[in-house]
Amino acid sequence: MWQLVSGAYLGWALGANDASNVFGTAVASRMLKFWTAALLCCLFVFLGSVLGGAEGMHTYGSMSKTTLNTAFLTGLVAALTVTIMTWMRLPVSTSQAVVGALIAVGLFFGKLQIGVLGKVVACWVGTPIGALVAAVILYLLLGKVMNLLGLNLFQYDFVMRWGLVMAGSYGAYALGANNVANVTGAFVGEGMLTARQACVIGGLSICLGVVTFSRGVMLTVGSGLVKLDAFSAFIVILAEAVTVHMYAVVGVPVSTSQAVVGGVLGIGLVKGVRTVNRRVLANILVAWVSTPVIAFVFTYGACFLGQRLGWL
Amino acid sequence: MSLFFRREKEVRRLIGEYFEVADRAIEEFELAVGCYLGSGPCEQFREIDARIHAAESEADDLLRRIEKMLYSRSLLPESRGDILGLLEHFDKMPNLAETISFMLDTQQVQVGDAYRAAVAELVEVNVEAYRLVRKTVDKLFSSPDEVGEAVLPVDEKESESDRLEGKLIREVFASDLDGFSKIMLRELIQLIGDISDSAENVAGRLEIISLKKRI
Repeated sequence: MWQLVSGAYLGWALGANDASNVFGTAVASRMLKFWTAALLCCLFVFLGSVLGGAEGMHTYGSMSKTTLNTAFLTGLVAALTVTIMTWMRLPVSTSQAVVGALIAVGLFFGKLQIGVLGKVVACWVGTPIGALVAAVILYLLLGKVMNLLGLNLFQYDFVMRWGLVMAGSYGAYALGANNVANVTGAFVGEGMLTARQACVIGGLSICLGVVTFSRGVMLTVGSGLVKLDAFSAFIVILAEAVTVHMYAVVGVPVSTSQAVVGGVLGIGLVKGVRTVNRRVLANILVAWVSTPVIAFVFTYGACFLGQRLGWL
Repeated sequence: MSLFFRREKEVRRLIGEYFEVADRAIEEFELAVGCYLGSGPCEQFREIDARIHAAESEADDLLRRIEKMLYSRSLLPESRGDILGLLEHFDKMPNLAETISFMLDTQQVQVGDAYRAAVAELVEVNVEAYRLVRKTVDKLFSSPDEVGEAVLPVDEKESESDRLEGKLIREVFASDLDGFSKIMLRELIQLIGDISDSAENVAGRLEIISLKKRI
């Protein structure tokens, strides 16, 4: 089953990039050592993948019927798309790349399920909006609780640090549960992998990305969030985790990066300040459209070529 | 993780120790000025001066250790910044105590009979301002909601010190003292008054820190 290599590569890239959304703040603020954060992240990503990842696998499995070779193509093109978008400095979503590739495979072979596609696209739009709403509610609610507790400086610090560790761990769980389908979802069904096997392999490849390549991204993304005060950063991570987890339950893989942007926007809304500039928002809109389109075009082209060469 | 929280406990212990040493420096300062005004730069004054110097050095050492610990994975960046800023501003007060005592020892400033009571009163008001701000620091670490109220008496003491300082300097410059003595005395008065100015700055910082923790 050498075709799994493309899925593992995608999982590695996902782990390397998305761990920053859950533990970036703790590592960039030097509150946790990278290795402590990486190990916590791996533990909870794996748990999330195995315990909550099956639903997303079924969604991808029902969106488009694949074979081992088309699953390989899906993973490879999605990974290349992520690379191109990252190079263009756009907030790329692995989920959107995978879905773009799956649509191409489905259309090429005439096996696309439009109903499932509609649900997935609606969830894309709902991700930043959901995180925004979650951030506003959590900020107001937990803010009241914090004020009532009247914590002193050290107690506040203690609560915030534990809060960031726990929200990060929950975020890692949600990341694993939600995004593992991106990694190995295309290989489920048709006698390739069972959902459980796909969750284990996908979870492990995400963990590999976390431990080998996430340190730099954690420091970059984390230092951006550190500019928020500790409570706001905690709310952003918690809102992201809640949102992404909800979509994991529904079975739709979504973007953690876009959930983070939604959360930061929510904080801005509560505080009456602009936390995200227009350029970042415009980039998200561009990425929403261009990521699946690029993945679709490349996959469709690859399917065409593969069929001509008798490989598919 | 437990190691990480042990560091935080150690930072708290060091901060507590720092404030105790700073308190000692100010208490000794009050004694030193009283002694100087009573009997001039005598042996007892020099002993107290040495103790102020030792306390100030110890406070500086503690401050360096706290800084080092804070930058090696203790507390959140915003708490680190708040505590370091607070300690840096607070440390000006024991530094002033040492500077004034050193000035009295080395330059043997002549405080005439006409000004001794007023200088003693100025010292008392400034030491009181220190004690009030010190209480406010304790409030920050115990019941931060009370910080806003606790800073008000510090502002009042600073204003009182300003009034005394202005009155005293005017009197000095209206006197028959020679120009050099006038300038020396003015410098002493201003340095003593700087203690309550620093106390007011620290009080302002304390208020901001407590407000920042309100969500």
